[in-house]
Amino acid sequence: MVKQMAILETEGIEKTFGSKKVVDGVSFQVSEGALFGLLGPNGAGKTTTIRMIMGIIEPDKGSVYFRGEKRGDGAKKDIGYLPEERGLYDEAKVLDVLEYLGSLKGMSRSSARKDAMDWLDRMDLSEHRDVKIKELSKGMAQKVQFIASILHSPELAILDEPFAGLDPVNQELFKSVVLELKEDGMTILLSSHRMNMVEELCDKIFMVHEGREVLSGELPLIKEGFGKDLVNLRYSGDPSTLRDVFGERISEVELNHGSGSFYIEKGFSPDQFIRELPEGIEVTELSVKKPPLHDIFVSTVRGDSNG
Amino acid sequence: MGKDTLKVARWEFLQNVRSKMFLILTIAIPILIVVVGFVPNFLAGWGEGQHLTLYVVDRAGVYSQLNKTLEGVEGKNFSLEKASIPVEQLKERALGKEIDGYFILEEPLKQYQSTPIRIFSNLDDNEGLIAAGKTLSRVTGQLVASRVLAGEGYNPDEIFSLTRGVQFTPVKLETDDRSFGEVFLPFGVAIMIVMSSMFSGSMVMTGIVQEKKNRIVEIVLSSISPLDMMAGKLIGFALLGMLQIGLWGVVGAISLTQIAGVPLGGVGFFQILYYFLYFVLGYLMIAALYALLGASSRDLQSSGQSRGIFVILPLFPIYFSAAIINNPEALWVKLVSYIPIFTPTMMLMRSGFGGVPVWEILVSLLVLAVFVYFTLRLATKVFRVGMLMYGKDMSLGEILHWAKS
Repeated sequence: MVKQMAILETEGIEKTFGSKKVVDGVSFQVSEGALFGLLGPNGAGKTTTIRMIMGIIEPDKGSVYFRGEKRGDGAKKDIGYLPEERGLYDEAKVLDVLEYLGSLKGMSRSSARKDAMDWLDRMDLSEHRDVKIKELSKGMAQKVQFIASILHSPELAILDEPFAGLDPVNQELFKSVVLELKEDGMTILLSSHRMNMVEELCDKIFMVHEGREVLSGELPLIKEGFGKDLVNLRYSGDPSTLRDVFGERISEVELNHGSGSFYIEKGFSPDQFIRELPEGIEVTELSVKKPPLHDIFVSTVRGDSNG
Repeated sequence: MGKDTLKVARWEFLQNVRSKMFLILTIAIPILIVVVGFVPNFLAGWGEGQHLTLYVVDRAGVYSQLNKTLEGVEGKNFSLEKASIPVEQLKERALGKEIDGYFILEEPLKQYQSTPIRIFSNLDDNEGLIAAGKTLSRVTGQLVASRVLAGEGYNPDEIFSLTRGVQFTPVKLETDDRSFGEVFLPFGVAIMIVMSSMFSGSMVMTGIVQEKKNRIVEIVLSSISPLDMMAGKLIGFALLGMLQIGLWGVVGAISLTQIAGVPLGGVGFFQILYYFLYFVLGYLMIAALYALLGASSRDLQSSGQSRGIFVILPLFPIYFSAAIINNPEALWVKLVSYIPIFTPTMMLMRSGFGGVPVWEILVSLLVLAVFVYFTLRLATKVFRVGMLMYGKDMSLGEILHWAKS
């Protein structure tokens, strides 16, 4: 695979508020055209990292590079940003807001207006274009804000918790739009604490906890490197015999009333597992999967993994 | 850079010129001024100011002479009309209030030196009739006297001019002869400037606090620099303030010249220029202070609390306007004029009441400009940091810390 140029790079960025170091030496690269996931629980320092990338606040230490150069104010126009905290001009009309925010990103007012109409169409909001923001539902306002962040077709879009507060239908809509934008060549940095979403969309992730990197890389490699597979099981029989037979080779065991899940060590193949099943246990369903990101994160943070 | 400032300015102007707050303030204030200023006069003048038409049943042939004499009388509240219908009909019409009233003049005129002339009327407003009666008795008295004397061989014209009363006209003593426009225009403008800069300034602050609260500031600051954002806001609201003053000015000028009949004359180019500069600098000073407050406050309540002092300070000189009128040359008046927060109000009032030398205007503008420059710098620095500081008010120590950085 040809190594792509990093469109965005952070180099040891740090930020301290008061006595609390919120971001502590975060370094990562986002290559052009990637869908990059910035992951971590609430309060991990994701938003502060993003604000430093956007130049809304300056890092105490370290640098942010955009297209290989130190990011200056000029780069603001090439980056789209959906902040985690939602808010728009309540008294203004939808189309006016989009036109204004597009123009701040360097679009002409007429092309901002035209593109905004197309996007409102795409997001099922075209009838609301002359409605005041305050009259929109929360989900609608979020769509408008999302449009504002990508209206000027930025090279890089930074979406902070884009799915928060959306109903399932709109979540699917957002997902498909995000994937579409990626298809069109936009680089997307998606920040979320919702691991399943990131897992579905991103090809590369960077996980932070308490301001520090805990895990990063290509998603398949991370899963591979986690060193355990997740087994889901439906069975009949006495579960305690399972523990007796497999002992240390299975972990995080949760068994109850005929179903359960646990991890098996790498190298301990599903085939071997079935052959060693104790008598009296009858398996009706069995799946062996790469672990979900959520579990990898939890065990990484707890420090009980070698991943 | 400059482009982004203008984009923000345009947006702020267009959004806020349509806002309820701006409409209410801009329209309500002139209405209030007009109501407070003119309605009491209007109401007070309602009764006695009403003009009466009195019919004269002239059986002595003196109507034309009487009317001619009356023409020379100033400030009368009635006019005469020669009755062309019978007395009975006049009476009916007076009873029905179709006419204000009538009176009869009969020969011999001499009788009126002992008997009063009765004015028949059914009007509720007695004061108007009494005032009319006073004037009539004086004029008719002269007429009767001249008639009687003429009957004894004197020339009526000569007699008339001899019997004319000596009139007294009040003349107000003034120190100079400056027009109303020169005296009260600066005072009115001073108040307008302070009010408009306060309205616009508080709109800057409300906007900032709201944007901070709903985080739209993040979207804006991820597109443009904080300096452009703040400069754009200040310019947008300056234009709004100028529009407001313009509207007030037009309403004020029309009210003064058309309704109250006061000439504005004597306002020169230099005067307009320094009004403008005092407005722009005064506005920038207040708006920058408000922006600083807004950016360093958690929400509107907390900014409102600390705002109190800024609302009162620029208004302070107006409370002392009486003292300033009495002695515009006093040392304390001069000194206070150079405290920047009071400068626009003080200097405009002084230039109205006492006349201020040009050098003082220039020096005060310079002092003000320097102060505004530092206020803006401070506000920009605090703005940069404060806009992203959520959930708490900045302490004075923090503000100073960021100011020094």
